Amino acid sequence: MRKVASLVTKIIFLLICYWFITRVVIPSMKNIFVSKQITIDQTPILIKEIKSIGQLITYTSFDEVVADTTIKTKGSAFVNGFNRFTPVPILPSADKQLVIIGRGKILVGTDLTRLSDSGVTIKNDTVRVQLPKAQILDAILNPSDFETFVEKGEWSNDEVIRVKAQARRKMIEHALNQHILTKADAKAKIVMENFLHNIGYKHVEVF
Amino acid sequence: MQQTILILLLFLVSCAKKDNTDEKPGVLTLREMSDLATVEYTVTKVIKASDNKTWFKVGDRKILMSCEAHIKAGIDMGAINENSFKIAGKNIEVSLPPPKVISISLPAEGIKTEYETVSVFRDKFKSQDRDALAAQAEQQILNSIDSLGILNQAKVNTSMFVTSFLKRLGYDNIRITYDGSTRQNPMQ
Repeated sequence: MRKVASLVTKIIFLLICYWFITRVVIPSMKNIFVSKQITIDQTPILIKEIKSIGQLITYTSFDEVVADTTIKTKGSAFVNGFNRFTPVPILPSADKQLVIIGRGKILVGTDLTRLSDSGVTIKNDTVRVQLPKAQILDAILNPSDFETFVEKGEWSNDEVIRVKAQARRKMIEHALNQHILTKADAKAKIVMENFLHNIGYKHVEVF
Repeated sequence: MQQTILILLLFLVSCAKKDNTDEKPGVLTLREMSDLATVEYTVTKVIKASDNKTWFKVGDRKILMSCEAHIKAGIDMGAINENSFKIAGKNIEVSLPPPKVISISLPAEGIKTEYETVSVFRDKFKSQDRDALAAQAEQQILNSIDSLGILNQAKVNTSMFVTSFLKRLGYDNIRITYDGSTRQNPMQ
């Protein structure tokens, strides 16, 4: 009986040790040399502009693109010149390099505010609507959509903006290659036809 | 005693960190929608951060950035069907779906570093650090959407837009109502 009690005590002691080591000692030791995440302060949001729009968004294209740029620095000429005289490059490159991955989305649709007065004609129970052509309404690449893959050297705000603009252009290009404007035009036509049928028009022509 | 030590060692070995990074990649594709965006808010925010909380780093870094965000709101036209309309001659009553946030965009051109100070022993803020700070601002803006009143403004603008369109189609008396309670879906 005494042996069983002793064994149970040992097991309980070991479980307490296990809990203490895994939950308290190891995590705190592990985090001793981890940099604390920088958190931003709560600041007010100011409304700069409120704009009335009328955009019928008919397609969203989600995409992932890579953008990269290398910029020569003052030291690049020296390093490249030196390496030219050696059989194998000895000095590491002094160029600045930035490679980013962007995962964003393109919103495509029809700007209905461009629907002209002559674009809507009604005759008895027939309605004709001439929709404006579909266009890229937004190319959204938010800060949380970017991942920095390589960052060598110091990059100014303007230089980073240029690399991000490259990512944005690539995303738009990909979307256009998928004939997204044609698809968006067709979808806008369907949405408008449904709307007009629902409000009682028997003959609807949308083009 | 030896047994006890052996069991203790087994427990310690089992403490090794498990790798749970089995994140699934997102599906990147084309998606059909039928959202009518009727209002766009342009908002600005100052991003203020101090990097002085890591004990083993000598000196601190401070940064002030400004950012601009564009938020669009409107309704889902796909939720409108024939039951959404009650028509009596030139009178029409339209029941629209509740307004929602359609998109939020923080373009790179709208994010600027206004001020930065870095101690001698510290590295300058990298592009990655600035993105991480701007991503926090993006989240704060998302969390504050309710207080901006954008959904109420979307109701007003959508009503005006639909009324104007129905007038062009020949209706004289137009009444607009909204289904259910308003809700937002900023990540759509």
